Amino acid sequence: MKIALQAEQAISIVFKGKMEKRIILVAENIVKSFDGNKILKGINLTLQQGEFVLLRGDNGSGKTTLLNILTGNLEPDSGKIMFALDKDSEHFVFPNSWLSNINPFNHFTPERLSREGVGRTWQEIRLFQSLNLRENVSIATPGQIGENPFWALFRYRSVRKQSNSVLKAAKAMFSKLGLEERQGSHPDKISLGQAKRVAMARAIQAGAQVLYLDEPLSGLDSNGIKEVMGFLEDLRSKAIVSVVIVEHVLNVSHIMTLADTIWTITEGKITCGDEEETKQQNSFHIHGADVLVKLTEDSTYKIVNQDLPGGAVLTRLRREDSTYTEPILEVRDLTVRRGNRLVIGEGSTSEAVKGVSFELFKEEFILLQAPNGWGKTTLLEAIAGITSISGGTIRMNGEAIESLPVWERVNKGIQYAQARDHTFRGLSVNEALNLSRIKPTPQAVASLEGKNCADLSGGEQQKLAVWSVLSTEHVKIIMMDEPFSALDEVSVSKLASKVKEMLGKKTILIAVPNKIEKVV
Amino acid sequence: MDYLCHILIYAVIYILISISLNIIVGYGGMLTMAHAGFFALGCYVYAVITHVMGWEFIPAAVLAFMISAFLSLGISLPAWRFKKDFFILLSLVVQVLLYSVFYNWYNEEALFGSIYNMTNGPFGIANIPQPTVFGWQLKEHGSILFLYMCLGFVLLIITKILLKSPWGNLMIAVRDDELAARSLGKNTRILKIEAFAISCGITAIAGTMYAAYARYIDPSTATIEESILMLSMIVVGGTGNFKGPVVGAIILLLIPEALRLISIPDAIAANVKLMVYGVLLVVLMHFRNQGIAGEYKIE
Repeated sequence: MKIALQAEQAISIVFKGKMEKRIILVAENIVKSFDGNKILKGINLTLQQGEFVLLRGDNGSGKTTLLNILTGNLEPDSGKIMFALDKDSEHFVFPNSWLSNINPFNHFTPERLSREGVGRTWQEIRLFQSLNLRENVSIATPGQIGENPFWALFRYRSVRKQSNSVLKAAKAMFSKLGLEERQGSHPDKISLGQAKRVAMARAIQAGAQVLYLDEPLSGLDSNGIKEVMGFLEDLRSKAIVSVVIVEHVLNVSHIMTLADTIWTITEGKITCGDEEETKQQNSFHIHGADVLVKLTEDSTYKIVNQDLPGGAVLTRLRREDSTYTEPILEVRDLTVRRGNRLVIGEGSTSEAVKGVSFELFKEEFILLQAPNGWGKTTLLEAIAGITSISGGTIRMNGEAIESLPVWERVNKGIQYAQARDHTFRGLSVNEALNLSRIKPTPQAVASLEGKNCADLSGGEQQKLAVWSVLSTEHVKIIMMDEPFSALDEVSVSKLASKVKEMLGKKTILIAVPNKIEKVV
Repeated sequence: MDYLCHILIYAVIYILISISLNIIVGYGGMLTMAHAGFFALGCYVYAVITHVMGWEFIPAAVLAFMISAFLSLGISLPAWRFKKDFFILLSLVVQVLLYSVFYNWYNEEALFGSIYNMTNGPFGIANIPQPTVFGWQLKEHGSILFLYMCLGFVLLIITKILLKSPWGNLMIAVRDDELAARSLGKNTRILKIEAFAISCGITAIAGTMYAAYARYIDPSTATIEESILMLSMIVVGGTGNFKGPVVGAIILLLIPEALRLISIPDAIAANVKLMVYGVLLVVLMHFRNQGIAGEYKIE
């Protein structure tokens, strides 16, 4: 009752004396702990209709935990959440009463919140791979009678009629997105930027009035960022949907241009900043390119670019005073297929397929910049031995390694930090470091000691994986797939410094989306 | 002619089993090992209800569908929470429970059909009445085949309509990513209950068809080997579409018949049959894990 009263009061608040905005979400004193470790220590927040919010915080600060709570994926230990998305407000008080605990249909679940008008997207997109894009969007439409098997059989005509109108609405959505021609494609046939827009459109089709976006720009190349930003700007101009965005520090400058408010989580509490503060905060954020600028500050290095088929560029950072004649890794005419699809290489079945060729020299730093969908992750996986190749050769110090299993390539000195699925979730941090024979614990991950890998946030897991690779002894080639993604500002700086420290000592290959071409 | 009718009757029964299993495994992505239990349940319901109460085929099949659909809660409720390996283990538990009931619901002093002896235990139930429809008992293979083909056709059409409807699309969505489907407001729990009820119900109807044709039923119908045979049909033929399970059912039906044609003694043929099934499964899982004509890759 108390919550409902507050909501009514809140709804009547007049903002800045100009425009009246309805408050649609109030969260009070949200507390959440994992294994006695209090992550959220009393979060209070309000969200207005049409508001654009940037949610930020350091790695492990609880951004994803808060996002999971606000979308019904996780129940807080205590606190209150109130939604006023339509005429009737809905509120949830935690901990649950015994009555709601035994009622299987009255739980705080994602489906229930979605029906209240809460939508979300994930960093890894999560489109339904077996359905085409049109079906992905149309399936989200709420209240379809054909979802009940009884009506699907006995109200066949009504179901067909409704399905047709739902498909028409989905088509209209695709013409707004500018993707009319791709609506029959499956999610694996479109670019990452297009997939992210479809995922957002799907959430809106499901009736989202509050949309939570988890790193919508992560992993995108410059075209992808442009596409997604265009979609978000369109949403903002309509001011119907409130959007809360969790974004990685490298992309935060883009979101700053849209955000009305910043929620910053520090030490388990949230502080809200207004537009003025937003502008000031802008200056504190580093752009993705700055990481590379940091590496190229030293004038004793020169940059050499090599174009690869399909629009990718290998950017080499070389000492002015050194000669690079001794390749440590040679990749010749490499092709990788998944089923009939050519992932690495150029050409079609009707003509000769041209593979990728390049070499890495000893103690060289190489940046692989490639657009989304080029196959840079597949290329690194093929070199590491995780993905099998379809053609070509990979030689290390003159010896063919393409038929060797992963562990033998590791023994030869190839280390690879994957962008995802890189931690042993069943082990503790200490056990994971021991398994990688890393002693002593690197300073950058010392704060994680004693924790379980499964309890680490996405950024902390990334940090652990990257520093494990960088700290391994007897390594000759270090490959990292988007190592800066998911890291906070401090971690990005530390990592960039470590990479700089290793320049000229090890061969380092880093893969990034091609959004930093102007710097190099 | 009788032999052809016999093969076609088995083909209809196998196709129905395979199609029903495809709803859960191919569209729902949940590998269940309890299907033979529900098939046997249909057999027993028919055997008991026709023996004891003299019901006709259609009402007995409807009752078998309803009982099986209700008891499928035993497997669909755990499916709310458990997934993959744990779900398979739980489905095995349900399978063992059903087998145990069929085997042990027996008292030699009690009359068959009484509450103390519902299944006749390990001795099984013999002389099960042939199907009676509107007072007309079907004794010829041809007439039984006609009934089964009509019933099979209706059930196939029903299944096809369901799988092509938004309900079927939702099943695919849940198979691909349940959390994403839930976050779109879809009640995946109810969906799982519906899918298991429909699938187990159709299998139970196939069971009534089998019991009415074979006229003998014992607990061996509900063994784990039978469940594996049923799964083999959809693994070999393929899942996630309509034609895969049909192809699989026909292939697994024809293998023993082919062995019979090349005059291998029965005792050897049984072992050879199992070997052929095993080799087929291993080869297909390795080289074509979506089956011969399927779309969904079982991983």
